[in-house]
Amino acid sequence: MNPRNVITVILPALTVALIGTTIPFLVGFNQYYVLLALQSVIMASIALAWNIIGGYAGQLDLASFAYVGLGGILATMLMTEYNVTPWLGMFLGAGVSAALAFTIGFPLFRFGIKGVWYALSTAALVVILHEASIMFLGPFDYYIPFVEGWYYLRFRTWENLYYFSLVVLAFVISLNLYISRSKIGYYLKAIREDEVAAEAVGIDVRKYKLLALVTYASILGFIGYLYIVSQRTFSYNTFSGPQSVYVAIVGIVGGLGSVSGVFSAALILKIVEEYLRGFLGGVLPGLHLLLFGSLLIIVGILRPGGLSSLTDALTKKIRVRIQRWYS
Amino acid sequence: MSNAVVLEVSGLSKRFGGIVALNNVSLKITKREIVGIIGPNGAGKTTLVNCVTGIYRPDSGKVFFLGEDITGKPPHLIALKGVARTWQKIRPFYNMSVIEAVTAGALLRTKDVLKAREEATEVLEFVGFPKSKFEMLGRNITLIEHKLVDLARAIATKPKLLFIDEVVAGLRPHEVDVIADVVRRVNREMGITLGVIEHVMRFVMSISDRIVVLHEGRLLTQGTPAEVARDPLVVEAYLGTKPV
Amino acid sequence: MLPSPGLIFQSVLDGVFLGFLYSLIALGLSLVFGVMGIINFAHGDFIMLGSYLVWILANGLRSDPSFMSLATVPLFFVIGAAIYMTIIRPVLGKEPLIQIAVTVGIGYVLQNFALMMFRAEPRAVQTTYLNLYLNLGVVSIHLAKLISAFLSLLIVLGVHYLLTKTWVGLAIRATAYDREVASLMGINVGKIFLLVFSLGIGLTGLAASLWMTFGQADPYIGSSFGLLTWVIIALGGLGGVSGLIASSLIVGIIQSLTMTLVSPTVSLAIPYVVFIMVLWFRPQGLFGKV
Repeated sequence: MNPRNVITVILPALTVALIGTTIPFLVGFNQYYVLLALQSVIMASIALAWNIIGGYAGQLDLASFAYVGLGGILATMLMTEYNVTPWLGMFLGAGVSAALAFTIGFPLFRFGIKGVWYALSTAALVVILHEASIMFLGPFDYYIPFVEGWYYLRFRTWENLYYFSLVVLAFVISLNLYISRSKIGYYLKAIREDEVAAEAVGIDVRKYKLLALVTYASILGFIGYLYIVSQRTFSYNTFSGPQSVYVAIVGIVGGLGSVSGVFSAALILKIVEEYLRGFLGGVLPGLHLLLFGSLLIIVGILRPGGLSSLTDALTKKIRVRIQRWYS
Repeated sequence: MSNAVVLEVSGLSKRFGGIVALNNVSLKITKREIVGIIGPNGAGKTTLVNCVTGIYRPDSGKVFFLGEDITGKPPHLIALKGVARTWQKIRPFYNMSVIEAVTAGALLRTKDVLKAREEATEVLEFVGFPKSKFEMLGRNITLIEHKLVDLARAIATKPKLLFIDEVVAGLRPHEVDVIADVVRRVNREMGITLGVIEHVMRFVMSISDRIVVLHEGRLLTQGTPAEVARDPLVVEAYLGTKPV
Repeated sequence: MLPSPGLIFQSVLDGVFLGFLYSLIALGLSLVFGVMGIINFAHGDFIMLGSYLVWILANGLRSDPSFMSLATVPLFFVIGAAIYMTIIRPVLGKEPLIQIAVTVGIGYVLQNFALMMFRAEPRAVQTTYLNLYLNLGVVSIHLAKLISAFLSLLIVLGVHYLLTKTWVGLAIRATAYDREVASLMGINVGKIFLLVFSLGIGLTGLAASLWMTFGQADPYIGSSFGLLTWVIIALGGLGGVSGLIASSLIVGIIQSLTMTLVSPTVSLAIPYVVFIMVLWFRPQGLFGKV
């Protein structure tokens, strides 16, 4: 990669992270808002990880919370049962999720499963893990016993975890930008557009799809612990079908393959959700999800570009300006 | 070396259920040649290309490329060895820009995206794609532009042998002339050996060095365009089914 | 400890009854997919919606849920037509990911609508005339299940007759086989699509009222019905009605047996395990043509 590319990959991520760090100060360390920011950052990271398999490679994956749940519960239980630090646990979670994705993806792609059958297999994966985890975990909610400090990545207040999540988000943003500007990104997009034509120009479709799937799953496995801590609890319901669909909604409404679009969609939907919950939560609990589902339908019918149609124009302007400074 | 055999197909057969699409076809293509592959509908022209490029696995027979047995290899490996193709029914990348689509082809021989983009630009200019439309999305360009992008995408993989599958279908007469000129230059200036599958006789007769005629899955005859045009078997095959 | 043969027989019998109802549900979905190529992820959620409707109507009228099909079928037929016109038609030519996404959106809307209106508690109809058991010594037959299985089979065979023996059926099959050729032959493909989609959704109205003679409504039955029907279609291939019925029965029996012999939890997961295995080793389905 040449220097200008390094800048376009790292700079947006750093900018987001830097702006992000000011938020706790802006809200006066109000824990409600910091937690909200933390949850938004985690959802944005999950949706941007989905963007790799869904947005670039064009596979409608509905299993995100299979990997979030697996990695997260593994890291959490290693901590609570064996006092293993999540610094290690999160990497183990990433590894186990990656292994699961490989085990599922290898035969699926080997036999050319795509389109609706891929979507179904991934939806089925969540159901299988959901039911299997009832057998192992029982039908209970687990609350994480209170431990504190950087060793456990758990704190009395939410700021530190939030800063840590910002680093993860910055990494996921850079990874997305790197992919979109590298050979892998071109190849994944070609696969998304037409697998047969992609193969005919020499693209190993199976290899690249598997690479996208495993990358996506390992990021989610890593983030799992952060997700569970930010929710304060985990159970068999962490393997959630509806949540996995929600991630795909964010990815599509944001615009397939658009980093700025998916990022904005994750934040906007989270804010709308909180707003509606605050006003109508007691009366109409599912309203925000109903609206998001409608939004998905509208984006599907009207403009498959999603939010990215707006955000891309803006980011392009900014990029051109930055490139002018450096040239 | 100028007579070196690039592609050798021997005894190739392929059936779909009860239909024999290819029946014991053998042929050779030598270096820098333009070979027209013609025949009425259902003659097995596209099936032949699909068997050579790895889309289908032939039921029997062998395919040798530069002396190496490539029978039944997956399409991406065959592309890597140097066989490319275009599509009768266009397979465009609607949500990628023209330059991105061609760059994806050029990335077969390099990892460097910038270099691949430069090569893609050169190839697009070579086939005469309008420079003002390089950044346009695939969904916004016209049919002849799609055909040029398809051709450029295949050339960008730097093939030694390129199959061009019914490229002029659906084009207007003056567009056919444009494409014919591009195809000739791909052969002469880039030195790429060509297999041109065609339905439109005027086009294929004018550009080919040699013509191979398929009929009902069999190799009917082959020879220079002039010889083939006079061959009573060919006339019968065409007139016997439907005139072109 | 081995379970008694009577228990196993009972469980297989229940599985067969359930399987026939599944075949009715899968029929509508396979029609829509087979003819239009539309991948409807919201199919099960229409059954969920129908179940709530039946629950309200049957309790309000103090009558049996099966009679409510007189209301739900025409209503859902019309709803199907409306959804086709507004949502499905605009995405007909678009890429599969967008088509699936749109129907996932419909399902998500329906599910959360139910959650909003009815909360997450399961609801059952109080008045049923069919809640009787016929005791046959080793096994007892739940009349509601028997009747719903019988009616399902009747309708599946009826639709099969419609497809194979009538002019409309011929037009539908021609459209499924090749859209362009069908329209060249003077078939109005748009009308066929409208009919097929409405019929598919209309059938979910019937399935819902049969389901409520012994089952319960809750916001999440939609996704489990939906996934399960896709599993059935994957197993059956898109071949014919016999493959569809056979794979429905297999899924029903597997589910019922694991529920009895292992645990209800496992019974929810096991069809999907089978599904993934089948996708791996026989992508054309157990009964599909190669």
